[in-house]
Amino acid sequence: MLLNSVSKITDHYLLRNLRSSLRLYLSDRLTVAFLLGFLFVLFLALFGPYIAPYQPDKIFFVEGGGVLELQPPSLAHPLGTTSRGQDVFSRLLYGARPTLFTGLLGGALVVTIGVLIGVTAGYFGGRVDDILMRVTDFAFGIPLIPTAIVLAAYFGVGTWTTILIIGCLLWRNNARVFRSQVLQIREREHVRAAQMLGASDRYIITRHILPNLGGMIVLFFSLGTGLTIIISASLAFIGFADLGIPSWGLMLRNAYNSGYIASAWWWSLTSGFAISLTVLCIFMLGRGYERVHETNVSEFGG
Amino acid sequence: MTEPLLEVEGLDVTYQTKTGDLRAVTDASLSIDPNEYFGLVGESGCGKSTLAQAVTNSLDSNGAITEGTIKYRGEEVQDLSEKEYNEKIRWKEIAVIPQSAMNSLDPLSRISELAIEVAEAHTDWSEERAVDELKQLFDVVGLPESRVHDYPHQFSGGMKQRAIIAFSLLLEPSMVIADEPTTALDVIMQDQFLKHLDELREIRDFSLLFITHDIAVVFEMCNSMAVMHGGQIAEQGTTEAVFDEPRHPYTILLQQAFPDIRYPNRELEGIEGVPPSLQEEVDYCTFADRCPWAEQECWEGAPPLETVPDNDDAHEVACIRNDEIEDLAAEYLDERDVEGAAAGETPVAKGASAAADRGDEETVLELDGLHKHFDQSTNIIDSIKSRFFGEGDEPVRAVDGVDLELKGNQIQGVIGESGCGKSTLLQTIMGKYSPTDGEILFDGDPVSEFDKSDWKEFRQRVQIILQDPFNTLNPHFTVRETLMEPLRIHDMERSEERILDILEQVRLTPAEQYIDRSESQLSGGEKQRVAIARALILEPDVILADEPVSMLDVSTQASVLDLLNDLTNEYGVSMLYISHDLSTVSYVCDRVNVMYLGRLVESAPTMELLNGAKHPYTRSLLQAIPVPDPHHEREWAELPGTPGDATDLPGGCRFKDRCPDRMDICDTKPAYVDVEDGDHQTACHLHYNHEECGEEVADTPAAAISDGGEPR
Amino acid sequence: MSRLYYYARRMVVSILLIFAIATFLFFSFRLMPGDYATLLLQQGASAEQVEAVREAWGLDEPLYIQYFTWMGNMMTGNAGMSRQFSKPVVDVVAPALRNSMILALPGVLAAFVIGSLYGALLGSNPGSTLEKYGIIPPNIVGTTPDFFIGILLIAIFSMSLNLFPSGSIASIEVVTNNPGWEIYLTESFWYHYTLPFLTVVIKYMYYPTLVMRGSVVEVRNQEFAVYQRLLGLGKWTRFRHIMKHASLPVITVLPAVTATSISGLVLIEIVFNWPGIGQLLLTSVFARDTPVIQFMFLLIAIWIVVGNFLVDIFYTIIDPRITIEGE
Repeated sequence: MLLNSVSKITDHYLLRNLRSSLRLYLSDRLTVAFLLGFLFVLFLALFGPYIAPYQPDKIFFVEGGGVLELQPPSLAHPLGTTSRGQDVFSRLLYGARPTLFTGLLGGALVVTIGVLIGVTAGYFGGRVDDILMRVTDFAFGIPLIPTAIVLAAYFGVGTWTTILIIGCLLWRNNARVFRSQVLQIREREHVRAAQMLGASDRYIITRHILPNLGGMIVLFFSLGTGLTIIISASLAFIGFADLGIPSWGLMLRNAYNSGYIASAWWWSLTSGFAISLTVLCIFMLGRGYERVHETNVSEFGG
Repeated sequence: MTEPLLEVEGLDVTYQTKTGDLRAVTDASLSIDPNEYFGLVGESGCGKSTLAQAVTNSLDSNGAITEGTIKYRGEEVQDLSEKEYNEKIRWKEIAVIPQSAMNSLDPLSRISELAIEVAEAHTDWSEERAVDELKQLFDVVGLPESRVHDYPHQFSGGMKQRAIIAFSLLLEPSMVIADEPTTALDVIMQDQFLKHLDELREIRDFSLLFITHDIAVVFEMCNSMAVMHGGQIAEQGTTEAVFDEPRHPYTILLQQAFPDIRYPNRELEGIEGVPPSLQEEVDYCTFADRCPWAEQECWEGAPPLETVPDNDDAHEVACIRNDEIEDLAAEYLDERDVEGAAAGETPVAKGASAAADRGDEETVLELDGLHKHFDQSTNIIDSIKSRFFGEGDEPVRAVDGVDLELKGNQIQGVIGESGCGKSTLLQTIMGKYSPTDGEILFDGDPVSEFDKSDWKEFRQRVQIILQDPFNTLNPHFTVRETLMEPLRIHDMERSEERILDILEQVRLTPAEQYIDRSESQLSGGEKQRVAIARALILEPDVILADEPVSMLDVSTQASVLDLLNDLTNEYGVSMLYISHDLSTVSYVCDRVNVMYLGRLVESAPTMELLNGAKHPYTRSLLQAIPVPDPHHEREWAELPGTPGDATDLPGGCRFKDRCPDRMDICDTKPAYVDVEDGDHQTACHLHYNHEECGEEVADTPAAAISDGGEPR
Repeated sequence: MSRLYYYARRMVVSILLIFAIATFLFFSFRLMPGDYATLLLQQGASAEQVEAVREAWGLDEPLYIQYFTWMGNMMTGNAGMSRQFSKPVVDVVAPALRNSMILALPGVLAAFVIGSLYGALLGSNPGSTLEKYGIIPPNIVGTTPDFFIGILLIAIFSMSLNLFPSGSIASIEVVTNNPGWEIYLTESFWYHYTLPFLTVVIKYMYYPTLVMRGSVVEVRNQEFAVYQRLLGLGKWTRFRHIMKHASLPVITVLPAVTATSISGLVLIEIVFNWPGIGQLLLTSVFARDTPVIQFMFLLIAIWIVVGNFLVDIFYTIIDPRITIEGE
């Protein structure tokens, strides 16, 4: 009985589909490389604080009493120190968590709003579609970073506000793409057959539309995550972030403001590259999906 | 004996795919003489298009000729590089008519520009000369010369077809290859296309390699032909020889499966099974798995192409039992009839052969003056504009007053060209659109007054079968989940037995093997059977079928049609069958309605319609159907123009502008009235006595109707 | 429907959209917590002083009156006074906008030209090694924050190689001697211009690359392109036909990207200390200078809407199929 239900769960259509596309997905070496990269960052986000040799804000001093500032990499400090004598390596490890956390939550929010609006507009059509699409057009008229700056300035800074602001600004592109996808899926014959059977809208959306959007949702989740990381790093760079959390964006800000960009490369460049490579892995995982499904969504960016 | 123009010998073509090599063509040989029209027939995936691509040096990048030769005028061309081929052969010697003329011209440049570019690529003609040549060819194919400078979108579909033909002849090639040129066309447009191609024979000298799945077109158009199956040439020879004395089992069975409008009584018999996947070395007969007369030997070696001894033409066949096949086939067909009779099937009950309507007295579904109009624009500004200024675009009159009565256990067909409104009609009945005017009565109850529970019952008792087998099933569902869905939605007992039972009914046996398959593990025909099972599992009273076989191969088409016929009898279900293809409709329907631009123009029991069509449009439709018999001389339908669109409709009879029998009175709307025995309606001024049905016609010249309505 | 009617209709829609955005801007800034007056209060101004400021700026009037006054002023080109500089908003924004434009427009255009060509190159060779690995560099650029590209360029070309200055629009003497547009003609300006310009080009190359690649792949498989291959047309002739189609989506995104670039420019300007609207925005936000912020947002919105309008017009010219039967 139990076995039966277990096998039923493992045989659920969504899982089955996931398994088969995963197999195809992993057949590409490049994609596997990016997946490993992402898993590595994920690992850092989960366990970084336990691996880090020091506390991120611990200040080291030279024996004479001065701050151990701008030390190049050494055994004690694998990535050197900052101008305030903090260990760059530890800060980098600690920074993975807030960076990725913000990104994933923001990506989830972006995709949720995008799916809600896109599917509603595409599936129900008519007036609803008209109104939602005009709202989307309107949203496209809002410049991203300036708006984020203004909102952050007026409503105060903090991880949650940042996520919320980004989520409320970035959904517009998703909504358009999801809508056009739903418009196509809606006309597929299996959907029409289910409608003819008298299936409720909820049933059709959950069983026929969303499963066929599945991969697309994953793709836009990855794009949203990447973009959120970039934008929150940008906001942190101009100072709209919680200065108590050692995110990579903030590290970059401190390094830039210190004026030692070129001389203290171990400090300024590592965090920048950490952001860049993390986002690259996440984006390219989405691209791998495109290859599997032979769709072409060249639609992202602010 | 002239030297052949094109000779293909022992050709092998292999594609490299993700899942391994695909041997698309194996050991294919054929030869085409100058000025010969040669047909190459086969189901989708049989390798016929690949063969043509090999000849035109346009194989996909993952495909390659692995063996054999292609000789053009005695010279080997298979190893030519693209550059050499372009210089020597392309368009000057061999030109191509692609499958979709509709989309083959670049919408962003003028048609004459393309002619200049073609000339520039292959000749030293001046621009003026290129345009002049195109003008001459436009004249040949019946297009006005002045329109060479148009953009493609200014041409109708039929005109684009003709422009593409003109392009194929631009550099006076000795050979034209047409790859499924008529597949996407309605029967009338196909007829026009074939007519032009046929007439060109008289005007220009060239050979035609005509690739199609439609054996009737080949029998009609071609001098010689070859039949392909699973990458192998099964049989070739003159069309007469292949028709009169088919020696390959596939050819014989294909002829059995192919509908012939002249014999709607004949039983159609599909070919079971599907061609092999061709992933392994092809050293066997690819038809063996589907062949009722296969022997062990058939799987042990590829059959050689042998000349049929008792025939003086180059009639060749690749079957090791070709000398005894005639007797075997005759025996088999007899036996099958006897078996059928023993199993209690009365052969008379098939399709239209039931000259008497099998329908009951009771009407299940009735359409009463049904209208469905669409507004052209949903734009806010336009609607404001039309509200305040009273001007607006004419609505699209997709369905414009349709009356129809569907009886219990009856199959009625609705046929018409694309754009005639038949699909809108179906979707309005389904409840997707609410009618602009008129009423749908289900079991005598008006649908407009349905409450929620009535709709639920309606959704259970009326089911649909749709056109495209490739998206009729949710790719995320197994067969089991697909068939559970209706039961789940209608809160019925979800038993495995019921699903197994229905799978048996649609002849997916053994059902246990099919129940857990996912969508991708089913062939096109199997998918369509699952879709039929989904429609039947709730035991409905009415099935609405939207071209359920139009996208299937002929061999599968026949068995699905047969299945629909049987199930109707067994379940006592009624069916409204929408199609553009009168020849398949005639096999299943008891009664046929002909639709033209939103209105029914004729309705009659199938046999009566086939034998005594009244409306000029119906007559043209019948006339346009190719007949699968090389001895039969069909006249072209000669129906000019296209239906136009449903926004800018002529007043009066909507067919008048294309009608060969146009009269003055046609400017007034004809009444849709009974003719003759009362079971046959038509809307044509030729066919009714206007004095008796006065109100439709007010002031008409008496002369036009003085002859009592006989066709001229 | 005539072409003229179509243009007129599109124009009406665009104007309505601009009005909607302007209205939205007005009310959303009124709803924001903490206006300028409260800020003054926090800075220790007396209640009377604050009251005087409120009255001077009409903040005491009912909201709808304020709204109509504001709208009326906007339409006559009067965007009010900047509170931080005590100058008309237009005079504050104009030079900043000019500085931003001279950075963004040529930068984005160059990025589009180079990116499109590279994308077309990738798309014309589907399945090749070039396509598979050639797509990685633009992706790396696309996933790198704008300001980090700027930082990298500064670190390399300015701080390590000492080739270019690390920031500002020109040297101080030049800036003080050339208050107007003449500054763009000075050698010092171009010297300072190089790195930020490069940053913009690199950053915005990636989007047209991806769009063009996808678009070329798609057009290549369209039936007319297949037919032209069968016709044996020359390679360049075919490429020309394909590009005509494939560039349409790229052109479609051009105004949107230009607009985005203006907003993304904020960071690049901060990194390079470039006196454009990004810098101005930041200082205005800190000073709660609402009239300036509102006006800049309105300008960006108008830019996007007008850009889309122009693209639509452009479509009707390049594509004969659009006989204006609606969307």
